[in-house]
Amino acid sequence: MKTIILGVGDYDVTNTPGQQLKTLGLGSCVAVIILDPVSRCIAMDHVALPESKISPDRARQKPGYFADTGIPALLEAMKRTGAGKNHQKMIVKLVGGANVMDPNNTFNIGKRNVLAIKKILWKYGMGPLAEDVGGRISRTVTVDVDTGRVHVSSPGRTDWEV
Amino acid sequence: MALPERILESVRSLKPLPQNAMRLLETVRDPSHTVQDIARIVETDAALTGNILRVVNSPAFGLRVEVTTVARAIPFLGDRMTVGIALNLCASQLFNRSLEGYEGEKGSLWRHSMKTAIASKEIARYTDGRVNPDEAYTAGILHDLGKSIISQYLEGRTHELVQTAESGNVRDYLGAESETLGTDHSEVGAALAVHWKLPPALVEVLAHHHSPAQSSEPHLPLVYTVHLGDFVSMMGGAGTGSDTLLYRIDENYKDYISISRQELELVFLHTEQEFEKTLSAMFAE
Repeated sequence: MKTIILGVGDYDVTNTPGQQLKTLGLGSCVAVIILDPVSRCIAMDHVALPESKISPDRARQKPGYFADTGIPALLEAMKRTGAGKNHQKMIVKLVGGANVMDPNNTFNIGKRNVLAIKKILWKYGMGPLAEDVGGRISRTVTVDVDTGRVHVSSPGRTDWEV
Repeated sequence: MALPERILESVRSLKPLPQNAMRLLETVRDPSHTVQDIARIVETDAALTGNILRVVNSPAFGLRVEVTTVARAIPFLGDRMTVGIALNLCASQLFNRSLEGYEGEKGSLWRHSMKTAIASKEIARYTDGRVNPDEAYTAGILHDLGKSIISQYLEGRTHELVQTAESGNVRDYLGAESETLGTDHSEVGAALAVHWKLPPALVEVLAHHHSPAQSSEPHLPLVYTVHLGDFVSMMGGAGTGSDTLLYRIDENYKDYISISRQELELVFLHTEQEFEKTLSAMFAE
C-alpha cells in the first residue's frame, strides 16, 4: 500500500490502485475528500483557513491552504486525472474542523472552515454526503483508492470510518 | 495540591538546567540585550556552538557562504531560535521522550513546544507592548515540560482519560489527569520550573497556561499569551496526542490581548510558515 502524505495546504488526486491519501493532525483544519465513482479517483485537500484574501501570496504558493482557492484547484486536478464534469455524482466527505468554543468568536476557525467549504461546494452543486467535523479532537484521515473507504484515527480513541 | 511523592521524586532527580541555558533565558528577557550578549554565552559551550552552526548552514537558510562563527550565525537565526536550540539541547532528555501516556509520537512534545513558542511570540504583538515577544517565545518552549515527566504514569490509561475529559464531569484534560494521578502536567511543570530555579514569570506559565485567570497579577498578560499560543498550536495540528484541544479557552484573554478574527488567521498562517522553516532547519542532515 503506497501512502501519499499531505501536509497543511497540500492537495492531491490519485486513481492508482493500491494507493492511499493520508493527512495528519487535523485540528481546526478540514480535509475535503472527494471520490469520483466514474474515474475511480480519490482526491483530498488539507484546508487550513477559509478565505485567501488575507494572503494572496500564500494562496499563490499553496492554493490548497484556503477553502476558496483549494476546492477549485482540487476539482481541476481531478479533471486532469480523468474525473468527469458531473460534480453532483461525486461523493464528498469532510473530516476535521475541530472547535474551540470561544464566546469572542475569534478562535472558532474550525467552524468557519466548515462553513466556507460548504458554501464553495454548493456553488458546484455539491454537498457533503458525510462529515466528521467539530468536537475537541485532532484527527488523522486516510482514504483508499481501492475501496474508497475513509478511515479516521485520533490518539486515545478507537479508529472509525466516515 | 501536594504532588504525589513518586512524581515529586521524578522532578527532584532531574539534573539542574545548565548555567548557560539559565543565562540565555535571563539575557533574552532583557529588552536591551545585544547579539554579542547571546554570542558570548553560546561560545562557552562547544555542543551548543556546533548545533548553532549546523542549523544556520542548513539548506533552510539558503546561505551561499558557510558561516563559521557564532557571532555571524546568530543574526541569521535570531535570538529566539538560538535560545530554542539551546533549550532543546539542555533539556533534550525531556523534550525528546515519546509521550506514551498521551499516545504522542516521539518528537511531538518538541514540535508542540516550538509551535506554541512561535504562536505565542506572534500573539504577544497584540498585547499593546505588555508582553515581550522573546519572553513569550521562551515561555512557549517550556510550557508543557510537565507532560514529559508524568507521561510514564499515565501509560495504558489514555482511552480512560479521554473519556473522562470528554464526559463533562471534569473541567478539561487536566481534571482527568488529576483524577487519575492526584496531579496534572501543569502542576508538575511548575514543580520542575521551581526545581530549575526559573524566574517567577515562567513558573506561572507552566502552572497556569490552561487556567490563566489563576496567575498572579504581573504575569497575567504573559500567561494569557501562552494560553492562546497553545491553542493555535493545537488547532494547527501540532498537539501532543490524546489531550489535544480538550481544554477550555478563557474568554477573558481579551482583557490583555486585542486580536480580531482576521488577525488570528494571520497569526495562524505566519506561525505555520515559521514553524515549517524552523523544523526543516533544525532537523536538516
